[in-house]
Amino acid sequence: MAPQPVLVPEPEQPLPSLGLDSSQGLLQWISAVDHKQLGIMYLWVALLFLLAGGLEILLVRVQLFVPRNTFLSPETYNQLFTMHGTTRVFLVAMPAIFGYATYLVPLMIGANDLAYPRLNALSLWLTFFGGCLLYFSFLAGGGPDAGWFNYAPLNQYNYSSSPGIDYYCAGLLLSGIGTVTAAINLVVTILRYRIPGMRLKDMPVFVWMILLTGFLVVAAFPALNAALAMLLLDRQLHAHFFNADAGGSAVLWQHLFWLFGHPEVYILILPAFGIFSEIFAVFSRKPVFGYAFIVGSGIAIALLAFGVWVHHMFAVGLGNTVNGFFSASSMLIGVPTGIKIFNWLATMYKGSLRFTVAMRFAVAFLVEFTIGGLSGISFAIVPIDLQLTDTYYVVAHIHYVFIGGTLFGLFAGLFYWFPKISGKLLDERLSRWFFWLFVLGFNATFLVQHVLGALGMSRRIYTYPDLPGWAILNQISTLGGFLMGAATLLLLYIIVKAIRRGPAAPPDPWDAYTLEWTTSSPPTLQNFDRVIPVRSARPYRDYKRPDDADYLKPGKKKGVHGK
Amino acid sequence: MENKLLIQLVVATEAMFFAALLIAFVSFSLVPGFREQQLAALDWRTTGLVTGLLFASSFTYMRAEASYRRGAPGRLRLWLLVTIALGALFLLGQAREFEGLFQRHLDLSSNTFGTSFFTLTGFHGLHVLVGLLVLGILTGLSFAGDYDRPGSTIFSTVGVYWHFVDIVWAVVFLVVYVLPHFTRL
Amino acid sequence: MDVIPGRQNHVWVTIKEPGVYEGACNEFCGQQHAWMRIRVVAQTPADYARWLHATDQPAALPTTAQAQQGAALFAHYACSSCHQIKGTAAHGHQGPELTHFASRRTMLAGLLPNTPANVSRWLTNPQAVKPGAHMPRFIFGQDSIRALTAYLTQLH
Repeated sequence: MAPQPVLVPEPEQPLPSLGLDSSQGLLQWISAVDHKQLGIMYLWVALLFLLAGGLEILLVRVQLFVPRNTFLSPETYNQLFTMHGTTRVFLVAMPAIFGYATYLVPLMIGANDLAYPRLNALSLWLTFFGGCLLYFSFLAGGGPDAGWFNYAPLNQYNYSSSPGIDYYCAGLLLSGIGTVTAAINLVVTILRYRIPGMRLKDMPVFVWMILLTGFLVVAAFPALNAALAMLLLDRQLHAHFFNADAGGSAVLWQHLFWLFGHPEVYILILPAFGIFSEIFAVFSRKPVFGYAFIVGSGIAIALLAFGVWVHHMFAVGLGNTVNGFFSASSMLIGVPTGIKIFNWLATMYKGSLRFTVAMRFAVAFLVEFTIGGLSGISFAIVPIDLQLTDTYYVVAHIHYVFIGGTLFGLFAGLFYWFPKISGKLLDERLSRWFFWLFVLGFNATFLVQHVLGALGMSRRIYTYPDLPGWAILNQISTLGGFLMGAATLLLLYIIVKAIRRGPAAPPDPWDAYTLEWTTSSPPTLQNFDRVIPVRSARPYRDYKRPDDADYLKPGKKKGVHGK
Repeated sequence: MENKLLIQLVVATEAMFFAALLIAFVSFSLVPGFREQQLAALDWRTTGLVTGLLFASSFTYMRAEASYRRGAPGRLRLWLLVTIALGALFLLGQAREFEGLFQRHLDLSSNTFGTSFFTLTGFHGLHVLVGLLVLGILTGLSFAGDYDRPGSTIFSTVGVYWHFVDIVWAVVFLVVYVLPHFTRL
Repeated sequence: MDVIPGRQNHVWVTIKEPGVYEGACNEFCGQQHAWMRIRVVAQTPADYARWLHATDQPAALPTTAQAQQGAALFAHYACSSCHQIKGTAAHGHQGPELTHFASRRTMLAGLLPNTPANVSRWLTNPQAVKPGAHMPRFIFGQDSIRALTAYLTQLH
């Protein structure tokens, strides 16, 4: 006998959209298993930690405003920059990415929820509680202070006896489990829950990128979990994984951490690449150019991601052969990304461009991320790396790719999907102000850091000597940082204002191409009663313009002039 | 159909975790002095016995699965109980071995052998324990009549995990207990 | 190049001109990572040989009364358990060697110029000058500090 379908009781009233305005209030949110609610909660978690991590780094920048500043003690400073990095990677970027994925993937593939809704809820709460555990360290004897990368032997008990690092390990283990379960949930959903008719090659690029990200998470997070578990054993039970006195190896930590850490940065960027692919297509009124190459290069990046980690360790002295191999592989991994950049440019070429705020962030991304990519390639060359590693040059690089890549992707996604998620429109004029202020602030903060690094300013120093040029460059950087902070507050205002009294958003404000836009804004609990037929990668456009549908032109160059 | 993919992904991520622990063990084992410790501390014969019990539990689990598919709830419950018993005996054997090593003052904090050995086998034991808990739940539910008729994917899904735990142990046993008898550095 | 416990690393530096070259610890190493600066003094082979010979000599003997008092205090106050001064009984290896302390241009790994005033500040309260340094705070009286400073600043 066939198994009886399990009927999950649906709430009578509509879902609360973004606030606590429904009659069920907070309890509805806490007990939520619907992917849309969980997606929104992920985004609120990301926003909360965006502000926390921002406060941390603004304090750091104040301390660096003048040489030999005494605003912060070295102990406090070290905790602040450690928490800034840890927060940004694990509690801002990851929740935001998983928030978008959780919200959008079912809608984009014509499904009504993720494969495992309760597992989805568990993932969110583990991520959030892991973050809370990490932050609890401030109240429990001090935050972790050995850097977000937490190298041995500094992370060992005899060099860091405050419990901060133990909280770092425990918090990240907890959050990490949340991330892995979310990734597995998304992979199963994408591979098994597509509406019949949506072949893999009809999936939106964003869904492809989430699929690849999911595999990266499954493969890479265990290395971090193993390292954290080993460190806890070292610190609490006096094991000897990382302490050289007893035969352990400090380099083992580095290998395990970067075996995770390098794929992690691709985990952070592939979803942004997916978001930008959607945005370039819709706002150039063309299909994304070279879909197969965009997807194929994404697969190449995911595979190569595991072959470059030693470029974080050129100064460890692993030998010329090892260094040479990883130098070559690190240069090689720039190629698929370059392919993507050209594909996006080709998407814009001869398109009828609409510079909505989402599109502005996309165009800015092309510039900023390329700068970041080029600086990265520059120190894939080992001798250059030996000079520039652990200087502000690397800080500049990582922020150009993290902010110019990941964060701009998240912002672009916000301006693109906010109407769908909330049913309200964001204020266009204020949003443009936000864009310019943030981009200006961002470049002011980090462009000068390339120079500071080349002049020899080390990373992670709580102050610096009064060497020529260092003070003024640091001052520019600090002022830029505060400008970014002000812009972020403006963003907060824009969001809250739209939620409170923004104009109602139509279901399809951008005349877009993919399935999520066929639902109402915001979508109903069930997402879809029926899904329109899917016969190409732009099903909604096919539905809206059946005479000019993509599936009528199989194999031909589609839509060079199509609107 | 999606549950199989789910458990395969879970197994994949856990496999990477064990790979990391194994790499740590192997990298420490290349240092002179480690192998002697290994040979002195470990006895592949007694551990081989409980290893056999764990492998047997995979077979008894497969019997349980077959009984479920045939709609034979009585046999299902029997084979589940036997599987749990074999798994529990494995853990007891491990516990005895650990006890013996602790008495000889070999533990996590002794040296890199102790550190990497107890971590690798300890995490494996934890995975066996989790498996036993899940099997216990399944047994309880089957006694309550939930699995009198076939149609659920639960047994094939849990089976993937249980067999995985076995395979990990096969690798660990080989590398940690058997290999040092055949290598000379 | 990283310095990692348990490993031996090496790096070649080719210096073309004699001079003083600034560097810094780059790999985050703890509380005072910012003040672990490096100063390389490159000399011609002849100058270097002279310097090497001078370094091998034992410490200068104190000539003034105050400096002699400082030397006595140095021996009395357990400074010798951490610091070495060649030619005296001080053979400690926890802290930096002080045999030719006064010849250094900077002190505390580049934090401060090596002046009598800074030496006195340091001796008064090390944690106030470089928090996290391993030198404990000895509660010296003012006279003792003056004497110790006089002794240390003549160790050329």
